[in-house]
Amino acid sequence: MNSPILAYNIRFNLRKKLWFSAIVLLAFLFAMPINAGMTFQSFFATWRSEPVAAQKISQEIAKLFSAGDNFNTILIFCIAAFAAGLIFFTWMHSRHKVDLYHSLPCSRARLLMGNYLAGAISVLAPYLINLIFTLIVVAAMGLFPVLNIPTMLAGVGLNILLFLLIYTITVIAVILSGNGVVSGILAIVFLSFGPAVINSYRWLRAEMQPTWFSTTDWVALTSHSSPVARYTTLFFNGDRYAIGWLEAVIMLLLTALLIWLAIRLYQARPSEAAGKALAFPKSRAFIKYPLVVLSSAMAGMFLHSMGDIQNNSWLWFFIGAFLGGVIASQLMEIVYHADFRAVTKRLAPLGITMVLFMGICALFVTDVGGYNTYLPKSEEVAKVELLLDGFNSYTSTNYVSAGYYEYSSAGYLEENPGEYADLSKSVTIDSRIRLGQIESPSGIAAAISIAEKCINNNSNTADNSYYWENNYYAYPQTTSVFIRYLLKDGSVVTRQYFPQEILASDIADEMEVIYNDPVYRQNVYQLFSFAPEQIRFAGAIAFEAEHIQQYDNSLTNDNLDKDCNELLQVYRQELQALNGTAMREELPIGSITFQVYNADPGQISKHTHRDSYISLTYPIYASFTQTIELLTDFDIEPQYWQPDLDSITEIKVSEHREQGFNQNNNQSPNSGPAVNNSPYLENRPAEITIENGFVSFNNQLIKTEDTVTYYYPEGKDRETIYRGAEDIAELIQNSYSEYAFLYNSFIPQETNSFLNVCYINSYGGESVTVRYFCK
Amino acid sequence: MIESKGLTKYFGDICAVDHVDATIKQGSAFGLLGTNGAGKSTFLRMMCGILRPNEGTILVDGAEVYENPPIKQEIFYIADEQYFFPNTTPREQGSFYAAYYPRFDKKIFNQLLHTFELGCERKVNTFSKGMKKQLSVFLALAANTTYIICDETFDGLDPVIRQAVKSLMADAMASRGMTPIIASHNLRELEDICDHVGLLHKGGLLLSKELEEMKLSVHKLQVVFDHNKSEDDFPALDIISNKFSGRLQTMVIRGDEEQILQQIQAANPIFIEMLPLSLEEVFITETEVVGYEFPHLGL
Repeated sequence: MNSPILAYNIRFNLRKKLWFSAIVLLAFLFAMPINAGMTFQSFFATWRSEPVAAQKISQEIAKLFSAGDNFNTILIFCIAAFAAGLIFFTWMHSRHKVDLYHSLPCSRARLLMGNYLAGAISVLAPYLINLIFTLIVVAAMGLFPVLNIPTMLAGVGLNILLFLLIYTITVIAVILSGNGVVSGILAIVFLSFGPAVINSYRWLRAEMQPTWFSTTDWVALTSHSSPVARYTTLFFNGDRYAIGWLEAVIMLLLTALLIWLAIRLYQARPSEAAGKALAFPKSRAFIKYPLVVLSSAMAGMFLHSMGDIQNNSWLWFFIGAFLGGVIASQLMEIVYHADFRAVTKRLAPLGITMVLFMGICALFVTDVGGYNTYLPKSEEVAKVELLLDGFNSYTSTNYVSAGYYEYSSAGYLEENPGEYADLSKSVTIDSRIRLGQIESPSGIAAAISIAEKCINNNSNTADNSYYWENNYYAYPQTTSVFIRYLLKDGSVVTRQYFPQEILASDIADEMEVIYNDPVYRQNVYQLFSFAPEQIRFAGAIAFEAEHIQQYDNSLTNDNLDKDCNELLQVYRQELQALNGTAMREELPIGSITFQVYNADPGQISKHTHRDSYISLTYPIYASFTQTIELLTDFDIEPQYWQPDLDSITEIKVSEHREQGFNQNNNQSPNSGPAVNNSPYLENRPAEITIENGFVSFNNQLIKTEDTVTYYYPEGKDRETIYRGAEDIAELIQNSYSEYAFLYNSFIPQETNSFLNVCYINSYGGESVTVRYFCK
Repeated sequence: MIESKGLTKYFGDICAVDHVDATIKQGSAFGLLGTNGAGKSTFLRMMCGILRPNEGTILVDGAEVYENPPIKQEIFYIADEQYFFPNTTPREQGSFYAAYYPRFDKKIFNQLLHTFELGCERKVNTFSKGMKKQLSVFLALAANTTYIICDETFDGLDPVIRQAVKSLMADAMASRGMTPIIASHNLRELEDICDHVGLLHKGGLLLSKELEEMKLSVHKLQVVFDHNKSEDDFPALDIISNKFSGRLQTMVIRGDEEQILQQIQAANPIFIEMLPLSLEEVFITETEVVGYEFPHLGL
């Protein structure tokens, strides 16, 4: 058959399915030109008088044409690709139609291509027509000058590529099957199998081995496992996962490879397959058993999550896994044989599959290999990398950018690394672990000691992980620990722990040793990882007895001047010199903030914000004399306030909570939303005051050597004995020593006329505040 | 010439065509007979390249037909239920086939549509079953292929059209050496048009012969002896069946007519008559031999 006949074949198929093209045309009409007209009209009304109008409109136009920003277009392309694959190849499921086509003097390759091209054109032609309409709308509104042609063409190209991938996979599903329903299901399976497997695996590992930590970028992996996932990732995480030219070329080659595969499969497809469930009987097992295992895992996960996780719900997992596997397997047998009586077929292979899968799961659940309790010997370890997340340490994201505080849970980062990666490539959990590199033997031993405490703290059960993730805000001081051992034999072992009851004070000794390691200090302060020309001085705050001095440089100075360079250099030196022992002995007397700008790497599918920056806020200690001297140029004079016991009239410990505090439970006496409401504060059961050297508990004077039990928000009760005025100094010392390595403790959250050292965890105002009221 | 050698086709565990060897000479009219489920359609679908044989080969003009478009240009397959695209007219169907068959003659096609009063612009899905059969035959004749493979094509046609179609086929055979391969249960029709017959049973080819040769090689006699004779009384004859109705014996005997008569006469029959054997009787007789009979039926 020569090419004119191929052209005829395409035209004929297009004519037969003209109704489909008409629907696609209408859908794109609303998604593109009409959407463009409405968007720009609205923009003109809003931004006409604004100086940023051109930039914003340019961004909107880019969104309109890009592959990842117009969700309507994504949706239409996904549905149309799926539908076209089914509609243009559904004849393969009818014996009469197959007899007609296969009796024709036309090779199967050309027959397939005739249908394939017709299906592609039936979607792409309406798209391109509407693209022209949209350009007409853009031109009619006088916006053509701000149209970025290369960006538009890249977006159009990516849309076409992703469409072709989804479409070709659907066509392969149709070729592999013998009836329409199975084709549709198979196409959905092909398009979702990768993401389902990846996320099931991830869930199973995380639940069965709670200390398992993976540095894999799961979003990236998932998005590359299916074109539909890639498309949606582009929309939801486009800034981070934009498609580059190399990937576009790979996608093009993959599409060509899939088309070749489709042709080969079609050539091998027996004509008598029409009407059967699957065209190739040998493919039954290859399709069935992966789906059985996946269904088993998903059903197990479902029942496990529905069960009582606090108590062991693994029994429900295995019940779910068994039921899921059996139901999936025998349903497929019924479909394969088109006969309900086939429900009893192939039970033996199913049994073997289930025993193998559930057996492997059981090995993981029972931690047969001791994975969750792994601890290396100090002498085996060359280096350790440590991240204490949720602990507000320097390796936490919190100090990287205060603006992202509320999103800074490890879970969020893991799910949305793009939030940070756009600003700095070094703030994913994996890279933050690297920030905490420790090389000294004492530091390594201290890190292993922390891991051991975590293991002993019952962190090797999934329950803790569950609570950490789900009650993160209720247990803000809960520490998550990520540790990576770089062993001398070259191997690398990484673990994570979610201990519920380890407090900052419990590991303060270890942290002191770790901070005494100069390598750790060099790594942990991200300020050292940026080039000076990227950094600008943004401001400083001095905590004082009388008032807080503040200098805000963040909006007034775009260029780093000479003085600021000197300030940065001096501050870096003094910060590097501050070891762990000093941190426990000194109180910060102020804070300093720098901003770091990030370059745009350039992407073809998403516009990015070139002016993004991160804020780095660090403490100023009294020993930072050179820094303090330079700060006087900015009217900041941090001074060390030495508590004079005679000057203290009152110490008020407030906003501590009872054990069992539950923020989400309004019936709780100190439930979260009411924490800052004064009626609740007045009724707080544990108001402790120290006045004239005497401690009062709920306004009742506590006699010398009385014991007062009160609670920190970690949920762990503390007993503190106040013996009188002489213990105030101990109270002060203990207070900050306990929090010495909690960076955010030193950021003041409110201004008042008193010396206000706030131990604030900064999660929605839930905080421990210790105020020293002066005479 | 179409030649099948050891042609075998399985559908799962079922052997639909079992090592069939057959030759169809160009210019002849080949009738394919078969019991129900014998594999006639499967054989034809392999012949026109729809199905790939599991074993054996089928050569059309010396070349494999499967996935061979140049060879398939010489074959037009009329299925038992020919598929026509929805909402198309005969003219559009003609255009479709014309794109694939280079010698498709639109003039002849239009002429046939006009002669047989099938509206060129009428939607095919408004046609009756017989009209669709007519249309498929006209498409096949207009395609000008060397071979036309007809699967139960005549069964839905009325006697007048059937006769007309036979004439058209005979004309095409005479004028351009067209070879029709016709599968049908209507043996009377095959008898009219075919000069070569193949008989399929349970996937295997029981026989493939010239029709005349077939008729000459099997003979039916009605004989009356003074007492009934069994097969054992004629050891030299290949008696296929021997039925009694009183003293009247009906014998079907394979072999040379003169030799048969000579043997029978030697037994001094009171009455002897040689009866003509129809194709249907040949079919029944041959299939009975291999056990395809249901003698004691009753409700």
